[in-house]
Amino acid sequence: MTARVTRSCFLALLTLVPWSWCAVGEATPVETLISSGAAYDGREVTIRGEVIGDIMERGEEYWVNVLSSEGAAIGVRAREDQISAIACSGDYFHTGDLVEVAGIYYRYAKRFGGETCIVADEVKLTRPGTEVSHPLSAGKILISVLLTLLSAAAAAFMKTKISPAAKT
Amino acid sequence: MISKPYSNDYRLISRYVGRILCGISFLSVIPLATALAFREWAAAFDFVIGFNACFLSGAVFLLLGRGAAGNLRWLHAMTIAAVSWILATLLCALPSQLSGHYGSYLDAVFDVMSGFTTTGLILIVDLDHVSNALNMWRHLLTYVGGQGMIVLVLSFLVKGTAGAYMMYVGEGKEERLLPNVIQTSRAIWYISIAYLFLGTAVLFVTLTLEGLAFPRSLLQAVWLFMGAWSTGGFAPQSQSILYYHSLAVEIVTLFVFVLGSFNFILHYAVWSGHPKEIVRNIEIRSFSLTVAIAFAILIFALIPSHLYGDPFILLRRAAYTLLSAHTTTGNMTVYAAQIKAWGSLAMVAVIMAMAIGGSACSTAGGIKGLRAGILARGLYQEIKRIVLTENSVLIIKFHHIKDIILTDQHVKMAGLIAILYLLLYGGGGALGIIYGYPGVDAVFEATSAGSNTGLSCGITAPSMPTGLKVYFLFAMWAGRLEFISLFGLLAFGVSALRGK
Repeated sequence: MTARVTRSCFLALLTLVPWSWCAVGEATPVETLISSGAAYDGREVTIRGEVIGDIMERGEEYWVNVLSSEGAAIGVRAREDQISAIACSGDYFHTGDLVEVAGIYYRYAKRFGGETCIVADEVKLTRPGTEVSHPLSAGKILISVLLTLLSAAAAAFMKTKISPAAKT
Repeated sequence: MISKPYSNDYRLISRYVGRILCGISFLSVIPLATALAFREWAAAFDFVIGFNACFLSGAVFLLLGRGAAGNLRWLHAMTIAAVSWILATLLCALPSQLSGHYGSYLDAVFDVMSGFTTTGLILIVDLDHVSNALNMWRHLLTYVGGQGMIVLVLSFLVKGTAGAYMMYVGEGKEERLLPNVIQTSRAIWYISIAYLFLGTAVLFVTLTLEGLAFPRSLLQAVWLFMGAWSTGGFAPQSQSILYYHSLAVEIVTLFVFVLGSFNFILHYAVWSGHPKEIVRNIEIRSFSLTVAIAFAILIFALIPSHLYGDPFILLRRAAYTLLSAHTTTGNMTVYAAQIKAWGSLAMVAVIMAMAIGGSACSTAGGIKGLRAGILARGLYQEIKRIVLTENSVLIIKFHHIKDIILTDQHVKMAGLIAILYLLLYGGGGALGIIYGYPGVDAVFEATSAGSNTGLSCGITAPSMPTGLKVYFLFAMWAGRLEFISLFGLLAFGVSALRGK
């Protein structure tokens, strides 16, 4: 009886543990890595985010910048074979490939002149990037046309009525 | 007795404000052309609207100023400078706001003011996905702001010289490269454009070697140059200089912003065959000394923390941040959150550097090296006066292009402006503390705004309190115009309300 009560209490207590903290493979927010870097320095971490901008070749390796959903970006150092699946980087016209990067986090990596970065063990493509359309707004077009006509009229008016007097 | 302004005074001010706004409106042509070149059609319409709104506003002011007679007086010129900066900022924020990358119009105005004043603090959302046109706009504004929007208009749009010098002073510049102020304005632009081509070429090669593909390498070279030369600190990506993971990019941008923080008169002297001026000039001496002091404090503060674990890395990160602060640039090679990890003493060293700032008649902000040098010479004079006998004649000189005898007037003016800057920094710091930020963080961010630096320890964000945004807006504007136009505008307001 006592053992059953103890086991029930133990199981009840287990439900209170915030499992998200210790779940295997859970991603660490990039924001946390930057602001509380000491706790993760030199440790294996996993981040998720969008590949943005340029993929920069440096010798036999590459720099890839990954932007998290909270808006913080971090550099990822990776080999060519690790990033071969990346086809789309985020910019004005694209949402970049979403990737999951597992690797060692360095708060100030000596090898790279003190860069805050992740040296990748594995880069997994979780969702391919997509094109972003920027539809033209009819309202903006109409306002543009009206304002341009007004400006042209104002310029013509200024040329005839204002400019001669203003030349001082 | 204060005399009330006549309608002719308003018309004179209107006419020049109108000219400046019409001139500034044509800046939109460059991002518009960028949008068309990269097929960013939606962005193109933002700039068509922005151009027209600014041009039409200028036209309205020109119309209001029709029939104005007589020459400008100091009060007119100061009011023109102050009002033009405010109106141009409000109007140039339109295309930014229309881009959809700002939480509110206030945030867009904040970023445009930050650009024009070469501050570099940003509230833009999702910077990594903005159009090339918007990035061109942001960097163009900071490039023009570095030289001065009135300098731009004086260079190309004003034909007569009457009142030109007064408007030039109203924008926070005082010294002339050449006897004629319009020739001076043009010379400032020629120097800046020459460096633009040279610096862009060097950065383009550097970025290409570092793995960026054309045309992004060219665009980013132009933008990085504009941000660094104007000591603005804007960068095309949210990670600032960290995005490039490159020592070479750090070295080139550092070289550019240090050059940008030097007095245009010094550039002109060196270009005219007087290279020794670099060694003799009081501003360079003052800059070197204060950099050395602040750097020593910074290193002293950072060594015990063992943050970097390698002396070269420590020197690299500390030197870039400190020079970025002292030249009031704001380019960052450490994350904002990491600056706080440096500790209070290190932050104080950076605050000190930001507070002093770069050279007078340059693109930089802050109290300025010239004033710091004059105050130091003034202190030396007072100490020497105590030591010497009463009958001694004491003459202290300083070298700024020529040897100048230090007068009480020099020291008084330098001291007055320095006190105003300190009040501006302190006021922002106090407001930040009232809003609940730690003291050092609040003073750091306020000094960054008031000295037009742009380094951030994380306070400046779209979510920051509106009151602080408004104060920083004011601090950027007042700091850039060196208070003179602010007082001119206040005096004009008082005379309009209370004059007889």
